[in-house]
Amino acid sequence: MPQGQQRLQARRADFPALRQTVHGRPLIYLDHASTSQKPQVVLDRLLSAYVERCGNVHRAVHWLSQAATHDVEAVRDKVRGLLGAPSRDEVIFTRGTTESVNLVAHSLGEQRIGPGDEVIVTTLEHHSNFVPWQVLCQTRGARLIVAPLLPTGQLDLDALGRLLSPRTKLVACTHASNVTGTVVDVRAVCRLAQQVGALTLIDGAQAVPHLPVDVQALGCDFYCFSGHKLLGPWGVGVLWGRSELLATMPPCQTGGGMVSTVRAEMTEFQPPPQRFEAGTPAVAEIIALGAAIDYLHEVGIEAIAQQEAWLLAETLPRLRAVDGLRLLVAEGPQVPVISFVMDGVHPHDLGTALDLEGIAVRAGLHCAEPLFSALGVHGSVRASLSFYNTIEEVDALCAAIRQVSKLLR
Amino acid sequence: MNPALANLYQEVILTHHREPHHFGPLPEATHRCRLANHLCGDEITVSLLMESDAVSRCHFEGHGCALCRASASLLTDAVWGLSAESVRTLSDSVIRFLRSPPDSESPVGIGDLVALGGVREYPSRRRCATLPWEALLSALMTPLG
Repeated sequence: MPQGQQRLQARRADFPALRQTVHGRPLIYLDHASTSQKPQVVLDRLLSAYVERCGNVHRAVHWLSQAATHDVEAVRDKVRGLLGAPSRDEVIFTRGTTESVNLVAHSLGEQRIGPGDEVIVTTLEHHSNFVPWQVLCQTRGARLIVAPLLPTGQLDLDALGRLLSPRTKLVACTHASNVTGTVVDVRAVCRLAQQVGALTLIDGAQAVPHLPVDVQALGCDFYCFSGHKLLGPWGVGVLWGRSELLATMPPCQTGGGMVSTVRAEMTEFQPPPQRFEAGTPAVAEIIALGAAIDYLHEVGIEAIAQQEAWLLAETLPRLRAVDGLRLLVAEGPQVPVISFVMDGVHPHDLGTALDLEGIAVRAGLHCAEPLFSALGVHGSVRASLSFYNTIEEVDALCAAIRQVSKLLR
Repeated sequence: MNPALANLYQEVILTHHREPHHFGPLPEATHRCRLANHLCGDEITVSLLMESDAVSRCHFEGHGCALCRASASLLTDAVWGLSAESVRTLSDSVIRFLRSPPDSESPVGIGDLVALGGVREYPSRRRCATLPWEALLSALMTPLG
C-alpha cells in the first residue's frame, strides 16, 4: 500500500465511533451509504456551537446571535465552494436531501407543472427522489415517466433521449446510486434535458461523500445532499439551485426569518436563500457541517476519491471470489457502494449474521423498490465503504460471509 | 460458531427454513391474505381452508428470510384443526411473545414456536417472525368469494 494510502487509513483515529466493540467484536462499519461516522472535530464543533454560539440566527442584536449568524453564513460559503456554485445565495439549508427534493417538488412543481406535463425520474432513484415526483404528478395531473437502465446497471441515455419531449418539465436523477454505486453521467443527462427545455434536479447524497462535484460543470439546475452522509451531523442538508430559478419560486413554508414585511393584508418575502428557510434552522448542525467540509478539504477530496477507487478495486475481486456471491449489477460500482446477493441466503439473515460478527452492513430494499422490481430481485446486502476502511476489514467481511452462509443455507 | 447466531437460528428454525411444511398454493382456500414487509421485501401469503369453523388445511407461499419462512412453516403446523377462535387466541399469544422483552417467559402450549423467541433480541427482525401470523389474522377476516 503506497504511503499516501496509509496516510488516509491513519485517519481512522479521528473517528471515535470506530473504537467501539459490537457484540463483543471490534466494529467493522460498512454502512456509510446510510450514514457516515463523524470525526471528533465535527463532534467538538457541534458541542461548542451549543456552548459558544447558542443564540438565534438573523434575529437579535446581542453577541451570541451575531456570532451564530456569522458562523452559519460562513458555512454557506463553504458549501458554495464545495459544489462549485457561482453564488452563496443559491445555497439553501434544509433538513436533508429528502427535504431538498420536496422543497423543489412543492415550490417549483406546483408553480410550473400541470396537466399534460411530464416528469422523468430514473429506475436508479432512492424513494426520496421518486415519491415526491410521483405524488406531484398525481396531484397536478402530470405524467411520471421512469427512465430504464441498461443491463449493465447504467442509465440508458439513448432511452432517456427518446423519452424526453417538449412536454418534459423536469428530470430528477441521482448522481450515484445508493444501491449499486453506479455513477450516472449527469452531464449527459443535463445536456439532453436542456435540449427540450426541461429542468434537472440531481440527488447528490451518495456522490458528494465520494467525488469532487462542480454543479456548473454538470450543468444541472438543482443539486441536493445530506450532511449526515458527509461526515456531518444529522438534521442538516443542502439544496443548491440556480439563482434565476430560485428568484421566481414561491416559498414552501412561511413564518419567521423568511419575510421582509408583514402587514394584515399581505406579506413580502425575503429573496433566496432566506425565503426558503422559514423558522429557526439547525444552527449547531449547520456549523458542524462546516467543520465536516473543512475536514474533507484537509484530508483532500481528490485524495479520498483516489483512495476509494483503490479500495474498490481491491474489494470487488475479493467479493467476487466468494462462492455463491453475485453482484447486483454486472458492471461494478464506481463509488464504494456495493450490493450483492448470496445463493440460498436471504439478505436479512446474512445482515444479522454479519452484525453478530461486528460487521455493520445494510440488507433489504435500501429505499429503492422500483430498482429491485426492475432487476427482479427481492433485496440485497449492501457494503458501503469510506476512505478509512481497510483491506483487512474487507477480508473479514468475505470470511464472515463464507462462514455464516454455510450455516444459513 | 457464534453462540448468538446459533441461538437465533436454532436447528428447528433452519430445518423448517430448508424444508418448509405446507409450502405452496392452496386453490381450494376459503380465506387468504398476502402481507409484505417493505423494509426487506419479504412477502408472505397465508391461505386457509375452513370447514365447519375449523382449519382443515393451511398453506403459505411467497419469499422471505429464514426466520419468516420458519415462522410460517411452524404456523401451518400449529393451526391445523383449530377453530377460528383458537387460531386468533394462538396468534395473539405468539405475536405478543415475539414482541415481548427477550428475558420474559415464553407462553405455555406453543410447542416448537418457542424456538422463534431468539428474534426478541433483535427488534429489527421481530417483524420477520410476526409477518406470517399477521397475515393469518388478516386471512381469517378475509373470506374469499
